[in-house]
Amino acid sequence: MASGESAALRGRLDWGRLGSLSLRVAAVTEGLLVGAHRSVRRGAGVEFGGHRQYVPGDDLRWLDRRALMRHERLLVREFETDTETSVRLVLDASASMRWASEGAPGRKLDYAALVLAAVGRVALATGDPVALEVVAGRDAAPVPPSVGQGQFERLVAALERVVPDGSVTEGALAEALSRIARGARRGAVVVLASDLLDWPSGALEAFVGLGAGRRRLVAVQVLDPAEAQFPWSGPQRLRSSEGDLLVETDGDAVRGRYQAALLALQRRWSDALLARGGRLVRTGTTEDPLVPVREVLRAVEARG
Amino acid sequence: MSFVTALALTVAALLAVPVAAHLLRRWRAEEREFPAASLVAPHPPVAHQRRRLEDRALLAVRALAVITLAVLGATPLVRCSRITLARSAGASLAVVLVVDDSLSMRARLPDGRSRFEAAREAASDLVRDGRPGDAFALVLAGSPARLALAPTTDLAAARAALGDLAPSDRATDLAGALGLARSALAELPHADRRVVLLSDLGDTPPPPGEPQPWVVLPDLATPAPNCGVAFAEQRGARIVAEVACTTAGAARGRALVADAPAGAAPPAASLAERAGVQQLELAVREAAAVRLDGADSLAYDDRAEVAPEGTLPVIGVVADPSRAAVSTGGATVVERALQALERPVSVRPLPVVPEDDAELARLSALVLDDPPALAPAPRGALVRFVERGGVALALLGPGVGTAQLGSSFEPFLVGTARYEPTTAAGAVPDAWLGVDGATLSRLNPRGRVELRGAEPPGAVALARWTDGAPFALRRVLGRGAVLAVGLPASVDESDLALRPAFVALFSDLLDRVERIRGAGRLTAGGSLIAPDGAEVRGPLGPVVATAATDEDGRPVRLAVAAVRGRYELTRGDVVEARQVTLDPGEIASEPGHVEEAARAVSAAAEARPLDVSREVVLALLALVGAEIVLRALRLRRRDGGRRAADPEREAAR
Repeated sequence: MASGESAALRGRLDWGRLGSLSLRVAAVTEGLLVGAHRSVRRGAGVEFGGHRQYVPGDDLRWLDRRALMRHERLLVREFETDTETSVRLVLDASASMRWASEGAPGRKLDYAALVLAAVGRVALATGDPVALEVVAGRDAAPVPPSVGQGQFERLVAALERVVPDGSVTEGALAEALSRIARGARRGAVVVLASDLLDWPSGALEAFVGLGAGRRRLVAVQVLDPAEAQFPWSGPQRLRSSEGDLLVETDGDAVRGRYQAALLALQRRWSDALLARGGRLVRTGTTEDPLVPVREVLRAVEARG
Repeated sequence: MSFVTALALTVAALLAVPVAAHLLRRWRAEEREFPAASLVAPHPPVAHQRRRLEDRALLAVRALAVITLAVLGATPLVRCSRITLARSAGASLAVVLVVDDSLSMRARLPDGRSRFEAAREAASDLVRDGRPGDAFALVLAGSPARLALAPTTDLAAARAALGDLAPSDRATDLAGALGLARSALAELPHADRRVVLLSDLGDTPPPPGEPQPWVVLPDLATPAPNCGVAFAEQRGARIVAEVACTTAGAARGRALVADAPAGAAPPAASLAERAGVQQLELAVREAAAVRLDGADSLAYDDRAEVAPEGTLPVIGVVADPSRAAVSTGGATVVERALQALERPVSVRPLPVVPEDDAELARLSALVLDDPPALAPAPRGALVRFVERGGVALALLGPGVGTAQLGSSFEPFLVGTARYEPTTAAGAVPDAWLGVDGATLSRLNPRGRVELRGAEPPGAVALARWTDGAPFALRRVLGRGAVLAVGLPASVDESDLALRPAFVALFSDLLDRVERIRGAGRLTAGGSLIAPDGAEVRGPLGPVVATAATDEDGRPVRLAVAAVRGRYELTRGDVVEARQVTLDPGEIASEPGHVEEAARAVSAAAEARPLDVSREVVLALLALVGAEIVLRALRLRRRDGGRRAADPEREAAR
């Protein structure tokens, strides 16, 4: 990655405005390291978290003597401890993400990468480990979870290295999601940035399945203005970016039906995510990237 | 239907090709990438959408290209619609354009243009067809024929000269014009020389000669019945008008009508049903104009202003009827001689030489037949009259012997003169009176006035007796002149009045009057002689007058009266009027017949193909260029969209 390219991605966002943002996870996390989020783990905290039966090996410092005398049982005092929340970023780098209509400010992939980098930045600033998974595309390598400024640099380098290509296949998606499922513990945050177009059947269910471990799922749908509005009139021959689909149609005649189909797709994703406590954030490449970033953070904070 | 027509229709059908191509192209809309294509429902284009043209600009360019291509293909079949110069060997040409600017060229053609306009346009076409090295000259065939542009290779000058041409009311002088044209060609080195005749040939047939004139527009010579008023003049309580008609048919049922006040019946006089010139009179004391009712091919000459009385030169005659009249009575010999000339003059008998300057000022010339010596008063008035431009002629006879005290023959003679018997027979003119002057050699008078020794200073002997004594003297005095002849008009004294030279003498007198004072009435195309320093103004405004000298060496100014109407010659406070009329011969002239040879030349030249292939090819190239630009713009638009959609793929390319 050239430093100039890295600067290009960074230059598209007012990173200073991210300083006031932080990642606060509403769900109880299951981090291993001390962090900013309430953890299901009990340990060396300051807030009393209850009693439990003593088991051999427990630190005798936490043996509650008063409870022993009162109840004649060996109970250990537990305190709630703050741990980190793992943030898993998933980027769709399929061929459709490279498309930009005439007059659009840029590609959908660039916009999605920017949003993910911003979310990652906020998470890293909070002290949470951040990892990156890329679905489809060329030169895309996953970035294992880590913390610190170095991790942000690695994230940015990986995002800028991605070349959009190919389609999101069930195999590639399953592989990426299984890595997340293995590494992301309870309370982890999974943020997917994609146009959600031409995804294989079952992809939605596979992604939503990640929410089973009380992980917070957020899908950011990035659309080009032309995809949102379908501005063309008259006879059109439309070729899909992925696959060989060629549609001969009339812009004026099918605009309403197209927008209804797009809304149905968004509703399907939104309903499925809501059922798992997740959220669908819709945005476009003409929108200020900070808006979807704030939406993602709010979705993570929300109690689902 | 000829093969060419069928071929042309086939080529015209090719116009449908680009339209069909654009319509067919409409079946497949331009393909574009759209990631969400899977969400778009198919909707095949309906028929009326297919018929809609997508790119009208490109279609227009292609249709024009097809048309241009068809025109290019048809170039060899296109005949020249305008007059062009056929070049037998491609060498440069010497062309004299003889343009008729006479009155008859004002007649209208069926297409609404006048003959003159058609002739000028044809001449312009020929000049436009000229190439570097071609020499053009311009001769105008209105009488008198003039060389309007000397031979020049400057085509711009030729075009400018043609642009300055204007129709006139002149008569036609084809013979003079062709003579001028041929003489102009004779000086040129070109091998291919042409005389282009643009005329209605309303004159005698063109004289034979080489090169044969090329009658470019034979249609100009199409007969056009016409009657016109040559002139109309108030004479007392009547209007005298001269009307001319080309044919009897043109005069049939027509009448000359005078303008009358509103409500009053206009006086009219019917035209005799015959061709040629006829004189009509209307009993009208005053009218501004007369006109011919009905219509003909030339409306311009159907109306004429009535010239006021007195425009004719007035010749005063002082003669003793008892001695100068014939024995059968009637007018004196001098008056009869003046009438025999049939010149537009008014003869006024006078009993004595007027002593009043004003009375003499009404005269243009004064003829004294066998006068006695002049008393001081009339002599002084006569001198002033002559000095102001009058002409005086004294036919001296036995009356010279009745001189009274204090009287003399000044300014005709000096000293005393005496009438004496003579044996001298015949007089010899010094190139005076032309052919008729030779008849003086047979004079056999009883006596004569001895002019020898009586010549005034500056006098010139116009003819001498066989014994050397002067027969006639001329003396220039101021603007005018005096002539003295040593014989009277009386047939009792000599046989002078019986000789043709006698009438020629008065013709010479009238010519001199015209030269000095100008004719009171002259036909269009004639020269107005104005006093030196005078300004000339005609019906169309100021007229350019050139400085000249008359035959006596006096400075005068000459101006050409190209159109009819009243002309004013102004010098200081003195204003002289001249009336310019139409030539009745020109009105009555019918278009001539085009010689077959001239027609052949014309036909051969007109049949040549029109070569516009160069211009058509340039237009075709421009259309091809326009299509390339249009297509490039379309591709640029499309590529701009693709680059925005897939910059990496475009970069990889």
